[in-house]
Amino acid sequence: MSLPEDGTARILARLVRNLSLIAIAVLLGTVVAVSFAALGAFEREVRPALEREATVIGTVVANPFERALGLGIPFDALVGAEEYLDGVATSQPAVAYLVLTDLDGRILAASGPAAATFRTQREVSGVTEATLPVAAPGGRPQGWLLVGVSRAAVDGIVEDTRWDLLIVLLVGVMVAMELLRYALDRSVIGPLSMIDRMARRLAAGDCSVLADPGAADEAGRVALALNALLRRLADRCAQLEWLATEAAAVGARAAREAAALIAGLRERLRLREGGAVAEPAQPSASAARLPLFLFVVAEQLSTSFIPLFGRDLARHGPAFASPDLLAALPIATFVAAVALATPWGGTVTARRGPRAAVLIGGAVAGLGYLGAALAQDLPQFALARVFCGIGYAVLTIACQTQMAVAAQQGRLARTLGGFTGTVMTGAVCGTAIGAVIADRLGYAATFLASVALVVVVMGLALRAIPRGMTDPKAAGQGVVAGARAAFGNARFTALLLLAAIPAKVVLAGFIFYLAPIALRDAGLSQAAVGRNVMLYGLCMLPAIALGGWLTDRARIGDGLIWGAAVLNGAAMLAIPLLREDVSLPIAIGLTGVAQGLASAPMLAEVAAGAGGSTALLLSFLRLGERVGSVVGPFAAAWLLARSDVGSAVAVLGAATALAGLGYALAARGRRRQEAAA
Amino acid sequence: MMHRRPLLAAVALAAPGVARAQNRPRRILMLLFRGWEEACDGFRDYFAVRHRPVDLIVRNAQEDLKRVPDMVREAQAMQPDLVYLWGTTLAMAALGPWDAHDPARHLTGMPVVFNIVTDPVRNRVVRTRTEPGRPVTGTEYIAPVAVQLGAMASYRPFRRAAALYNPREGNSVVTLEEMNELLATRGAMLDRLPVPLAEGRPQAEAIPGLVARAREGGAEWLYIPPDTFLNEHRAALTAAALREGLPSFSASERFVAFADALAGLVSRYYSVGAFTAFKAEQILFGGVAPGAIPVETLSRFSYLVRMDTARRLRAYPPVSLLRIAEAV
Repeated sequence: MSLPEDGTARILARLVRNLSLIAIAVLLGTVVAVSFAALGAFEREVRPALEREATVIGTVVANPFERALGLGIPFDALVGAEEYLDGVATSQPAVAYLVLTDLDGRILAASGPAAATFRTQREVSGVTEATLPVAAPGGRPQGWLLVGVSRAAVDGIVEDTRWDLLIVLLVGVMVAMELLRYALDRSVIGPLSMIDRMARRLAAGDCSVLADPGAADEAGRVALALNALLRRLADRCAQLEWLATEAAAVGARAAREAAALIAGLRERLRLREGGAVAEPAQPSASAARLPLFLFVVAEQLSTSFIPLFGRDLARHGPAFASPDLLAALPIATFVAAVALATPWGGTVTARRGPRAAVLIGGAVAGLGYLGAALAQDLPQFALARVFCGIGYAVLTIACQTQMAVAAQQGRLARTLGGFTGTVMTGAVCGTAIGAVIADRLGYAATFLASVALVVVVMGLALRAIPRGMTDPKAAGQGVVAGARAAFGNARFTALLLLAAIPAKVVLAGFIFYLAPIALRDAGLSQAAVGRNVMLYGLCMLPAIALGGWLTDRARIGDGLIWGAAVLNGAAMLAIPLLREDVSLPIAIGLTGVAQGLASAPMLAEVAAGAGGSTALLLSFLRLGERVGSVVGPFAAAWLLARSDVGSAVAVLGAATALAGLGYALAARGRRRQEAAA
Repeated sequence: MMHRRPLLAAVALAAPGVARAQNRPRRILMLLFRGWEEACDGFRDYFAVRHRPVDLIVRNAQEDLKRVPDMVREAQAMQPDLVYLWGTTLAMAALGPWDAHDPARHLTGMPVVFNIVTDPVRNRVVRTRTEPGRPVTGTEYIAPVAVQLGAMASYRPFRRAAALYNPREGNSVVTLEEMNELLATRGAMLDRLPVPLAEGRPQAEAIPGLVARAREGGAEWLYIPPDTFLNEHRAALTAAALREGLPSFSASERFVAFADALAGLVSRYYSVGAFTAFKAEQILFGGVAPGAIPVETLSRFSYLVRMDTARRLRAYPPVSLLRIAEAV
């Protein structure tokens, strides 16, 4: 966001903060209240349902006893009661115990996982019990059948529902914050900044630039009034100059005095020959942020089902390989397209400007989603995903460059940190919503929803991202020349090889590959593994903001980059010190914190410190990160094949920490050189 | 008891022509061993329910194998559309071994279905169950011996059982041989007690003594094989077992349903008869060669428990068995 400096900036910052806090408080309050109400209702519904289940099980179980009594078998001569109850208890996982007693409560037979506890205590916690009389048909009760149904299964569902609600809550808050940020920037900060800039120019006597009236709101009216004032001032000045010319004809003294007067006026007021011109469009970081967010949502809508869709298509096609293997083809083509098109995206952005690049990327991706929606076989689908990948590469690099260009002095790291945050937020929101859409409307409809979102993204780019802003440094520079320039830059190469790529190797190798295996081995359920992996994202988001703030304020970007790598490595090396089900989540969370802290300073280093074309350097950084993401799982698998999970994690951790220390040495050497120069 | 039992089965089909050919009553010669019973009811009723016109011509051997050659000669002279054979002994006598068929003595040149037959492969009535190897097919009615053993053990586990049998009936001998082998693999044993013969015929008076011997030998179950002689004397046999306090388990329905045996895993005769009629229908109305129709047993059996006997023996069935058992 392009905030003016000094007092006005503080007022605007406070306004944005307060509005955000109020919005979050209201949203959180509502969602939490609704969630509690929903869970309460769930509890109220569940108890009677459990009791009904116990009664139904009891009725079925009691049937052979009643038949036996009906056939004249005495109650105390029932044969094989315990074996019978054993059979039922093992086939019904919800059953905690089944107990047959006589009328005085003496136990004749008992079975089930909690039967031993029942024999000693007669009261088992976490169990709902139903008691049924056992009688011959039409006869008097001769005993009791007690059925205990465990609440564990239901508690599991409640637990899952809680997590679902939490995720919905987070997604809601994230979407609301993105929209609020955009709306505030467009309707409050932009216009106020415009008035503020105008007031500053006028205060300095600069009458050469007109304010952009924009919308017909208060700021627009002020701008119109100020512009009218400027024109009147210009008219008066022109009139004054004409009068001075007239006066000069009276005599030499009058001419001198008139000239002095005009000179004094020109000194105080800067007027432009031919009238004031309109202020050029101001680049805005948030102008790229909402399109980026919506585009990532569009892309991630299909994440949850792409392998399934690919497998379905593969099953209908010729069987030259197993459908499970072929299902990976669309994923592979997408990843390859993104990786290969990223440098080209950087070139397009540098040459044509972010606005044009967003439109080009959007159009290509839109075609890809349309093709995916219409795909009839696997090759068509894989080709469509190539288009999606190219569009993704171009559009994201364009938005990232726009954010870097628009970032204000002193806010570069924070603004670029916002890029990572936006991509992650969009990914979370898109995946969550996409699964629901696919469930309800099908795969094709989900891809069409992506097409619609891309159209919105392009519309927003047309409205919000200013034209132009090409990068003169990249003019005439192709991808190869750009690569030579980027990798010839020692500072950039050190960042890429010692910080960016190792971070992605850890992300893909540890978080996405080794950690799920280790957690699963530690006995966690699939859902619990998923939640633990999610910890990475949850810890990373606030750390990105903190890292950006620290880099801008304390100017410790380099320190953050290598410090985070060392922290990351230490967290991974420390896993054997505690039980795995405790230390693994801690390591995952710390990895999120470390990578979040380093994210903004790395981007800021590329955008500001490393020199060269920002768009091209960013694109090569992203390409390097992709390479790291591909190498990560293979490296982890290779290590796993030669040792165990713990050792593989430790090796990855040690390598990260060493790379971080290497980066620290490189940065120190560079600073010494700069000081000497 | 030679008589003709016409069957008013067919309701005329609407269309003439093809329908008329379908409508021609098929002649089935039914050769029985011990008279008309439930399996024959099931056979007859199947055609009636399906509106298939059949003429049933019934001959009864009255348990006398000496009558069989006359019955075969009559069949050869009559040339019916199908011959129905009841019982293992009769089927073996009328058909001969599949690999030693003698056209002078055995049924030749006409399709045959058999009913209430035990192990037709071991008894060489057919080559295999899936490929009979001759224009003969039919049904079995005895549950596989291993399944019967499991059924006995699920009522009450045992280490020793005893069985009476008529040494002249191949089906009993074969069944008990198989059971003996199976029990040996489980570390249990079977006392096989043949009923003594006099003039080639088994002596019914010997039954109570043999049952007492079984009890004294430590048997925990009296197993009753599919044996026509024992079936004839089922009341005496099961009453003796009851007196001796010996639970008895039968492979066929009548010992439990119409005598005092404790339990049995049986095919209902009526259902087996209907299943045999289904195979006959394929031959008579579907044009299928009998040799292409497999010999099968019903896939479901009834577990019968005689509750009177259970009460008198105080040997009640386990609760889990009551979920599937039929009390009689």
